[in-house]
Amino acid sequence: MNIADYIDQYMAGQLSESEKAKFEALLKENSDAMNVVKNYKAVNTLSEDILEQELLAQVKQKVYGNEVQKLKVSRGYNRKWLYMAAALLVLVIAYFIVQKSFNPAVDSEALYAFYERPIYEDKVRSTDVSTLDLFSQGKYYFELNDFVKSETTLRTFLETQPDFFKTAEANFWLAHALFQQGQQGQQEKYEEAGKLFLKSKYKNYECLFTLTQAFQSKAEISQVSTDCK
Amino acid sequence: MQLSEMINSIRSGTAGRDRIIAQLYDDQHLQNTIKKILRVGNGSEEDFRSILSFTLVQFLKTVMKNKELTINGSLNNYLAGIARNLWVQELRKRNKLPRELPEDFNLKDETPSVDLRLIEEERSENLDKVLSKLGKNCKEVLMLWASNFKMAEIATQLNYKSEGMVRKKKYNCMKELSNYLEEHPQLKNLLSL
Repeated sequence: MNIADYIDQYMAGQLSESEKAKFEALLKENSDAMNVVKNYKAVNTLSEDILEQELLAQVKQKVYGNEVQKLKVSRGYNRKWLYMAAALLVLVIAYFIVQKSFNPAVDSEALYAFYERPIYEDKVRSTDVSTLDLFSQGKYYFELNDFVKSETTLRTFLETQPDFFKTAEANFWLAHALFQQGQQGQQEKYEEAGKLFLKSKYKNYECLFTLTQAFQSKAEISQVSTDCK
Repeated sequence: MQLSEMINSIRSGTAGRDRIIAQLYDDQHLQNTIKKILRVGNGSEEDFRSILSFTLVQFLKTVMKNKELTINGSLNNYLAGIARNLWVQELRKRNKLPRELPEDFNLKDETPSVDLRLIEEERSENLDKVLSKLGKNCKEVLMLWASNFKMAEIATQLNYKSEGMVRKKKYNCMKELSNYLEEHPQLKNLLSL
């Protein structure tokens, strides 16, 4: 008797009593065969699993076969769109950076944030100008936002009294008067304003010089220090 | 194509099965029927492919195991019955089975049963580990044996010289799997064996 030939019948209970006894005698001598009998049901179930696996593989080949190709292509297109979107985003960001650097309007807004027109407590609303010296008149007109008159008066002061101890301060206020006119659209005033700020060496003159340069040349905002405030 | 021809084709081997799979997959009527079933519970396109796949697998498996299969009514209705069963199982798993199902969803006694074990993916992974130990010939022999093929049929299909050769091969493959299961007893639980 051969175990391989009779195992299915044995498990199905289809062997005669004598055949069954012979078969079981063989089993006792063969541990591998004992294992097969012990795991017969499990192996049968696993074999059914093999069948399912094979059938599923065949079906998937048909159902998903073309789809896999399509998905691969589709994934490619998605990536392409992703790259295009990323490139577009970079361009938009770059555009805004460039705009921020070269657009005068944007510059002005940013620079105005750095700049505060000096206001002094000694501002006098009703003053008899005739009682003031030229320096004080120039500063007074500045406070009244009459920058043209302030410029003229301070120029006269500097020309007529060049050695006066307030020369540096006069240059400072003249520079401010010019600067304000520059802000009002007279671009050419900035250049002189910058020079005068340097000349004055008075109250953050370096910063104010940079500020005028920035307005004049539309330079980078980062060059302007917050110390100008 | 007559059902008997279809059954013969399915049981004849890989090429025959491929032909039937293609025929059923390309059947627009069947596709529309399954899509209609999946409207209950808002099945997705992926659900459709999955249910269609398992419906075909279940049908093929039933035919592989039972060459005397008879179908009362049309094949389309039979396959729709499998699809409905599978979809109800899936909706139950997702806790999305509506309280009231459409009338044509009422699962009658004659609805073909679903006995697929590969639907659980976790189980499928463990199965791959076990079956990777087996050679191609072993898988083929055991697969046909589990499909209730007679030894003579297996010998013919797989080109063995005799039924005895098939029996010997099958026994050796069973021995291989048995010993592996003895060495890895935890697999029986993992694979629900």
